[in-house]
Amino acid sequence: MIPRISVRGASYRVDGATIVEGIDLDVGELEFVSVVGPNGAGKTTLVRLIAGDLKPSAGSVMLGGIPPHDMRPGALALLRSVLRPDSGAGVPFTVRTVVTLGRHPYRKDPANSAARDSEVVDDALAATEITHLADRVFSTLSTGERTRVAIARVLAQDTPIVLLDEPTTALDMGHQEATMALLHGVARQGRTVVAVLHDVNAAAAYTDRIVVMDRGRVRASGPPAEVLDDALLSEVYREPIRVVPHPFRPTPMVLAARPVPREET
Amino acid sequence: MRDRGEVTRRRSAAILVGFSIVLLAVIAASFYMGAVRLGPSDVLGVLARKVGWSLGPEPSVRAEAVVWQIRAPRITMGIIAGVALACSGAALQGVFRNPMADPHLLGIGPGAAVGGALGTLLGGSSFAVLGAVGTGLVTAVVLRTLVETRATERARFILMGVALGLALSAWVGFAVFAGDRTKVPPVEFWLLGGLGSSTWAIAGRAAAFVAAGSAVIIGGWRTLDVLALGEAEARHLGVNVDRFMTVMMLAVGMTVGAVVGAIGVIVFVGLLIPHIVRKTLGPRHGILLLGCAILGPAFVVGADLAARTLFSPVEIPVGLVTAAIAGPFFLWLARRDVGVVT
Repeated sequence: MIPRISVRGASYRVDGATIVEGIDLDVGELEFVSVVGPNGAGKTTLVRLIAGDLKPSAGSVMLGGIPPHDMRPGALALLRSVLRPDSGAGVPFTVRTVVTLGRHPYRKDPANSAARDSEVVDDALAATEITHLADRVFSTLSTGERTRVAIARVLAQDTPIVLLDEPTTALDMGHQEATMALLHGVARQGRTVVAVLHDVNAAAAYTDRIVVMDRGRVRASGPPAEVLDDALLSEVYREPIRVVPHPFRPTPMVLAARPVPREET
Repeated sequence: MRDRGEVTRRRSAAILVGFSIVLLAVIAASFYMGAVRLGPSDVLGVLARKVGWSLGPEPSVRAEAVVWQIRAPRITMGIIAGVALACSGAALQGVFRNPMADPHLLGIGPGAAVGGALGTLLGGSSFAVLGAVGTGLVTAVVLRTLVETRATERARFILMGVALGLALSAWVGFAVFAGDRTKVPPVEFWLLGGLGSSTWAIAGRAAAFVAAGSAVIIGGWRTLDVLALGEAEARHLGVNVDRFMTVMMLAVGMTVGAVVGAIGVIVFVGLLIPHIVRKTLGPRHGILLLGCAILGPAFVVGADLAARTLFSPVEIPVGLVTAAIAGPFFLWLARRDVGVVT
């Protein structure tokens, strides 16, 4: 079977600088994969390559066996949805309108209808717990609320492939957990979900595989328990990090291990 | 926090009815007022007979000439210009996601005026519209290319458009002074506008291009909404952003070109009207363009009425009126918005 996402030796260079190099990654149905790594590791570039925003300088990116660049924009929008970090801060529309615009790819689909659109939008608003914000103006919301609206818009787009660049960075702890559980459920409905995350613990708890990136390359890729170890994370983040078993979840837990300076009292 | 979001359906309908009443009132006033005073029976009598009804006593030949040969084409041209300029402004603001985008400010108007003057110079007055559409399209392509060269920051892009417009305004002067000045309208006509020479023939030529261009612009309302989320977001939602921008720019070039060829550059319509409509009907482009297509004509026809009656019997360029009204009003509107993300 052709994997939904297939990245082979993909590199991206711009103005003589190599942003990512030699990336290999296959993601299939039902999978929830996270991409972690320090700032500037090339995580966003990888997502943009998969999304078809950027064309690889070398190697290939395929979605369902076809390079996204060879697809018509309308067809691509039925295959993959994308969340960008804090996008569209100045958008003057209401939350409901923004989420409804996620249905734009279906406007010419004879099987779609206004009733279907509003049903999908209602579900997306409920799933992201923003039904009460539906009539608020998007630009007046907090960053975290805007992120949840953007996630709802992505859900409304209802695509087999869901790409999210930092979907939880601006969220409070409660909404972060709820969002991770939501995305896990979205993958289990038969979709392919790839998310760039900064919270390695969230990645360890909810995603099937973690891709660790550093300096434009994939350093490790696999199930959280196999990938996360003290040496790798400490090296990648240039910071002492320890991995311990989570006290009550069957997943590893990542802790910062730098000694904290104590004030004498 | 002042939410200035979308407006309910019922409220939108009421506002649209209000705009329409203003438009009708301005049109009615324009038929009655002017150098020749006419009564309601003259105007209604002439107009009714044109659609085949015999209403009241037979109007005088003079009333017939004033109403049907002078005022009706002039008002029609004002309506065409109002729809074209207001909708073009709204479209450019949507495409560039910048509320300061305006067809004249960005140079499309002056660019079209060059062709209008050249067309008149080379082919006579019946080639003014065609020439203006031609150079309007060329200017739109030039602007499109400027945008293409790296995602130019919005503020700088507006400045580039202003520079382009000023240079092209000078070219209008060259085209006018190079020719036979008894045949080519003066620079002030091209750069400040005037509806005084409107005829049915001119209105007809302009209407054809404006109808086609406006249909494309208004047909883009959905995509303009998606584009408001951001260019990357629009691409992710299936919009061919580059193609859409090109199509919209060409539609604006053609629409604005046709108007400029007929009546010259009338400033501020494309800036002020979408701004007011956005305030009253909200930011969604469907209702925004509809509101612009009603309020734009009201503003242009009203400004023209002022231009020909304020210093009667002297007629002043209509662009002086629009700038005098719209300038301070726009400053006031813009000031009220301090701190609001636009």
